Amino acid sequence: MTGLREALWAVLLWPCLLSTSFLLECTDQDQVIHPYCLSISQDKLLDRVMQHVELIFRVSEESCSLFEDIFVPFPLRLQRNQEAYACFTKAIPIPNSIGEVQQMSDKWLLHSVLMLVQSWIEPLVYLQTTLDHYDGAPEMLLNKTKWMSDKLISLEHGVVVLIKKMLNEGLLTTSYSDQGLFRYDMQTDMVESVMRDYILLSCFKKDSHKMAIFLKLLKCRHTDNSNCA
Amino acid sequence: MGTRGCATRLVFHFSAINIMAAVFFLCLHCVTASVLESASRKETPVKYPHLTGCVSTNMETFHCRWDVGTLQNISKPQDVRLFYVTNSPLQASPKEWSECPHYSTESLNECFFSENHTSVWIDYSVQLRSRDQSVLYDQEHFNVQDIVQPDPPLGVNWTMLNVSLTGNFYDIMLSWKPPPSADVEMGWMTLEYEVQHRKVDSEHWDTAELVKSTHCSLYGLQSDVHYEVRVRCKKHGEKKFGGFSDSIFVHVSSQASRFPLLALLIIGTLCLVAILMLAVISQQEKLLVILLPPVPGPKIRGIDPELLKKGKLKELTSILGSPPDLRPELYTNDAWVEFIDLDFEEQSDRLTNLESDFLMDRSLFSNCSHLSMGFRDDDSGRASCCDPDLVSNAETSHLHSLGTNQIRNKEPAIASRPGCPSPNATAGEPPSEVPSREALYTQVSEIKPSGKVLLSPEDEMQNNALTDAKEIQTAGKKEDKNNPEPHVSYTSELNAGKMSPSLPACNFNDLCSTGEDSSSTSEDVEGQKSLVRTSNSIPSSQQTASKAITTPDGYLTPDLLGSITP
Repeated sequence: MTGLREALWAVLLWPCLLSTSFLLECTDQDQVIHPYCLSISQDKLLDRVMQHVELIFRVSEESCSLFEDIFVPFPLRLQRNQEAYACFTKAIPIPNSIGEVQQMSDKWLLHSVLMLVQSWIEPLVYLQTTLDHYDGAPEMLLNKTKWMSDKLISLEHGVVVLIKKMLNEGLLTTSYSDQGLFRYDMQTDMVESVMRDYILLSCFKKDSHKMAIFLKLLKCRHTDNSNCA
Repeated sequence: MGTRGCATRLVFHFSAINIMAAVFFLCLHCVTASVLESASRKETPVKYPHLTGCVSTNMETFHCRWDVGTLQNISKPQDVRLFYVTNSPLQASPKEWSECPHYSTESLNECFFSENHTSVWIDYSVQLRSRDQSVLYDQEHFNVQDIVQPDPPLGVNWTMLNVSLTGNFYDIMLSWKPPPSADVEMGWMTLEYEVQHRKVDSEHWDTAELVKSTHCSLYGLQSDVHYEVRVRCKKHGEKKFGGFSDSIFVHVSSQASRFPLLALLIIGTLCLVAILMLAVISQQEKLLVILLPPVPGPKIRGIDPELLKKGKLKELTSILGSPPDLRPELYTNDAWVEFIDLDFEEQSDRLTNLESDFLMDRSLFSNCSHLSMGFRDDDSGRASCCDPDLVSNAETSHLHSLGTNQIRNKEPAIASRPGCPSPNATAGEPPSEVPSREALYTQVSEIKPSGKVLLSPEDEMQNNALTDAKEIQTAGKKEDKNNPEPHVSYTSELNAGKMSPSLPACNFNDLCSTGEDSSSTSEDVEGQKSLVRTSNSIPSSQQTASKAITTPDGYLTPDLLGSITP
């Protein structure tokens, strides 16, 4: 009789067991943020996500300058600031001045970050393939782009979990990358291709800077610092 | 005269021509110069107005500056206008150029964009146009986050970290505050700092590595030298630095009291070295013994070391080749250990008793001691035989061995022949005065074919006999310096091996063996020599002895003795 009761309890509680097993999997030392890793504390998760983004930003800066030095002739270097040049992520509504950014809510900040991350996963994969086609692309550049695209995927996981923790929202089902913001067509012309990739890297650098600042602002707000707006 | 006149006339003409030419050239030069001057005035390239740079200090505002150039028709600042347009993604309408929101009043030729007009992550285009916008002088494109050059840090000061032993060098910790315009707390700006320092009279600045924190350590600064230190910062990820902070001056005067420390240290080490040397020199011999211990010579117990020297192999091999029965002391392994143990245990007990009882001839004792002292084995160390410490034990150990034989139920009466330490034989003391615990085996009862001599405990009756035997022995010793009675030496040798390990064969032989040892001043080696020689002759003597021995009274008569002697 007691054995039957125990079995019944076990059957009823198996989802909890399953979830706890997932929870137990995740420790603070985990390098990859598992989507079901819910046992990590919110502060630590936010720190971890911030570090990810800062690292991605630094690597994107290095990649951009490396690409510029190797592939972009000097006269063309300013063209990225031309009027015709625009990042494909301009469609994402993100404020651009400090005043507006400080007025963004936590929800808006986190969702903006998530949008940016999800938009950039596919283009980075594309960038890897195109860089392989270049003659004389240094190993370091390829490694950096590969690293960035890997980190971006794990960053997406982390931001999803952070949203769940901070905003108490469920796991998002819609992905912003489905919106097809990024369109690419195979360019045969070398210069065109180089310019397009150059613009792509610059845009990614800009967007990762945005993400870094948003998360810093979020962190500042959550550390009881009255200096933040 | 004529020629002279011609010459002078020629000279005159020549000089005149020269003068004229010079004047002509001078005029020409002046004309051309004036022409050139006028021409240059007209052909000076006109420097048009151009943008010198757009810079933001905090990513919230920025300003653009320009240079009006050398155009003549630009006299007022309003002649040059700045227009800008942003490529904002949120604006769907085509871009419209706007004029500079605020022309700076405190500085000329500068346009200031306030927070309301500053957007980050947006492409800006700025154009410099003439007043009527007909002429485009210059234009620039940028993103605000790319043109950040922060203000210099404030409040640079230093604290002392530590000073070297000599006081000539020290380390300092610099600290400063970030520029107030940059919003570092929120994280809007991430700054990196660079510290530069130099000696005041030097032109070259030493640059430290970039730090993200607001402090930095400088190591290895010299005392009594004036240093100038300054800090500047840049936005993380950018290449251009902002301006330098105000320089601060660092100066530390060295303390003279620290200087003698070095001299004291040197003197101290010298003294230590001198003391060490003295110690080494004074204890030279001991040190030499410890460091270079003497190498023990070859020694086989029971064999004369002389034989072990070079060239005497035949005798040695004959000894070693003899049957084991004849040379038991060469083949027994545990005799040493047993005897050594017993000696030390019973020493204290017996010493007092024995000393009182030893009313033996002092001369003999002295001889013995002398002998024992004199006979020092060439072995080194205390592990092997003769040790001066064991001299006093010589007699006691001898007696001990006598007693222990009794106790151990070994072959009875394989006692040493009475040598000098034997109290009874020499002094003629009644054996009753000997400690009652032991009986002295001083009477030869039987000589076995194997060569062993059986001794039996003496009786009072046989005291005289013993003394006689002793006399015979000594006489025999005196007669044959080099060929002592085999049995005497033999026994002594045997006994030495078995009875007194603390007194190895060498010592015992010394005491008890042939008298020539006592009388001679030769080394103990000779005694051993004699022993060995006698042992050589043992087989023959044994045979004779075994046949001839009849000991009705338990002692050897002189004729028996004679028969034994080879």
